[in-house]
Amino acid sequence: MNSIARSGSAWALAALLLAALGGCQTARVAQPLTAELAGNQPSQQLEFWHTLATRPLTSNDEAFHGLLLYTDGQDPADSYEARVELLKSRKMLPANFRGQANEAVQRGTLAVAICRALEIKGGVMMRLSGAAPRYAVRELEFVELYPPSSTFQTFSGGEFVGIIGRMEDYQRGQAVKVPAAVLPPEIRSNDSPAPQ
Amino acid sequence: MSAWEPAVSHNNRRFSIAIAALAAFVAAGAPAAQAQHATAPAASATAPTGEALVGTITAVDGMVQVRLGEDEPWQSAGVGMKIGPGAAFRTGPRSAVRFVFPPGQTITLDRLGTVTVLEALRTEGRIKMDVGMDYGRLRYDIEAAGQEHDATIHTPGSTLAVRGTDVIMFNQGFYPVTATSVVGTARFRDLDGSVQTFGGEQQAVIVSGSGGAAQTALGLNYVDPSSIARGAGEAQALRDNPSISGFTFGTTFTSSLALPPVAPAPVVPANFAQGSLVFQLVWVNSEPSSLLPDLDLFVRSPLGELLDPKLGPPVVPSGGRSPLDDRGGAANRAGQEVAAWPDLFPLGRYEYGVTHISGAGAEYQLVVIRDGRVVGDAVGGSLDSQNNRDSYEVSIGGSSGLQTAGRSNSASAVRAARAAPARAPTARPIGPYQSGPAR
Repeated sequence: MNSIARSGSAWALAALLLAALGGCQTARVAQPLTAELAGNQPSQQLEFWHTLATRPLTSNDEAFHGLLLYTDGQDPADSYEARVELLKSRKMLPANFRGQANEAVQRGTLAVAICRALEIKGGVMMRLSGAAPRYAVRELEFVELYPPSSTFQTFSGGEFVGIIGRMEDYQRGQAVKVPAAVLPPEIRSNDSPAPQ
Repeated sequence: MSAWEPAVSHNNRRFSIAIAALAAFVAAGAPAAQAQHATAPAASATAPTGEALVGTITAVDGMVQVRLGEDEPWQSAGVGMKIGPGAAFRTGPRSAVRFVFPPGQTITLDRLGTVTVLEALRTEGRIKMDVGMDYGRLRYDIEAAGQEHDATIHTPGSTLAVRGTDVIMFNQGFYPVTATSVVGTARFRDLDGSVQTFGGEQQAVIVSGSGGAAQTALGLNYVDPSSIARGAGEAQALRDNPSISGFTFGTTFTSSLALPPVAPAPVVPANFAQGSLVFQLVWVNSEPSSLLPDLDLFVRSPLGELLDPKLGPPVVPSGGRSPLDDRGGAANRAGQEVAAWPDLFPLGRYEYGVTHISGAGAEYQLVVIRDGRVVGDAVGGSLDSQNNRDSYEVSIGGSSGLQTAGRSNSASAVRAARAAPARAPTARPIGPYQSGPAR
């Protein structure tokens, strides 16, 4: 038993050493969709969203492109650098953001941008701290846009698309009591669910 | 062929396999379910016979594409287009499509979803519909009068059988699959094979993996989204200090129906920095049984502006705000005051501190928060009517933050400051910050 325990400890130590020597690697997306599907035409946008939904990871560039498509209806930037600058100018990204285009987007980074886009003020700590990633993540958990998350976790493509859908629900209200005959814009114009 | 199509084909194949497996599972197990659902698995396992139904798109909102078969190209959906089995839809953000199949079936796919009409048949007086939703939210209403319906919504992990009811099926991202019966009963089959009948006169919800509608209802405790408290401590602080909400101008939950306007990039003046700078004071009684004394936070900016809830204006030209004057008074609570520059703040040396106004002794703590990060260490001490003022200095630079400057503590200083509030109080540097009182 002792030898097994010692062996296990040795493996754990070796794994720790390897991790320490190698460092924590950020996941990267080999070919971000934005290289081919960054257009603003409706058909191109739909290609982007529904291709992204099948991808295992979402890169910074894809997330920022998607965020701009959602907030503006189109992405006025023609490059990753331009997207980052645009989001920084809106305070949706911290001024010291240095993430690469193909790095997997972090939930904390995205949470700050979402809180800004949705004008979520948050609780006392978030109000006092500004939209720090840690508190932005907690806030989005509170309003049920995020599942329980850590700041440095990332998203799959399907999860990111789900988050964007939830953002819309947050703004427009969920059509959970509305018959199928009513479209979301009609919910808006009536300002109340249609009779069931 | 676009980059999308192979992925969809692959997905559809996997999806079809999953549906076939589900149908086989339904046929093999759950006798009770089989007794009531005999038609569905049988129809899935054998070649469908009957009259194919033709549906019509009745409304399109936003970006919606349709393709009439798996090998057909995607095209923009338009009102009046005819569809049949094999037709698929996909929607973008803020988009939705509504289509109807006779008799009395209305289906709406909301934002960011895909759905395929797998089967639409009229056979021997029975209407059989089968739709598959990869992800998204689907609302399905059936007007049951005079016609027997056998409708099923499949997702990759669950199945919802619908008969003469209004249902909503949600499956997206990492959220659990959720089935809602708005009116009437429906049967929900989870990935683990468990079958739940739910709904009736009132709306009922089943969340995948939750064990049933009753358990789901228990789990969905309503939380008022307009509350800004995130815990017992915050709730207590807010009850004690309702004007805190004025600090950030409103409540947290905005279900605004239009997109919020995107603010233009602010112009940052010289000697200012973009971001937030917050000074926060909290205090408690030195003696627990006494009433909370009145303490005031004061901050003098590098421009000489004084933020003080009693001596200064609530807003100064550089954008700083001192919205809250907590005068104490009650026992068994903490006091709090803040002074904040929410968006821009001047660079340079700030003098800040706390004055004891009235009441018994108090223990206080002061923190400076820049862009969400506490700069340096919190400072604190004790004040009473005799030793009634502590002040500190901090230099806020262009890149990071805090160079310790000093602290002074004297009764005469506060008296001088209150006699001539426009004049900068004199702080006597005594070295690096200390976390305890300088006695």
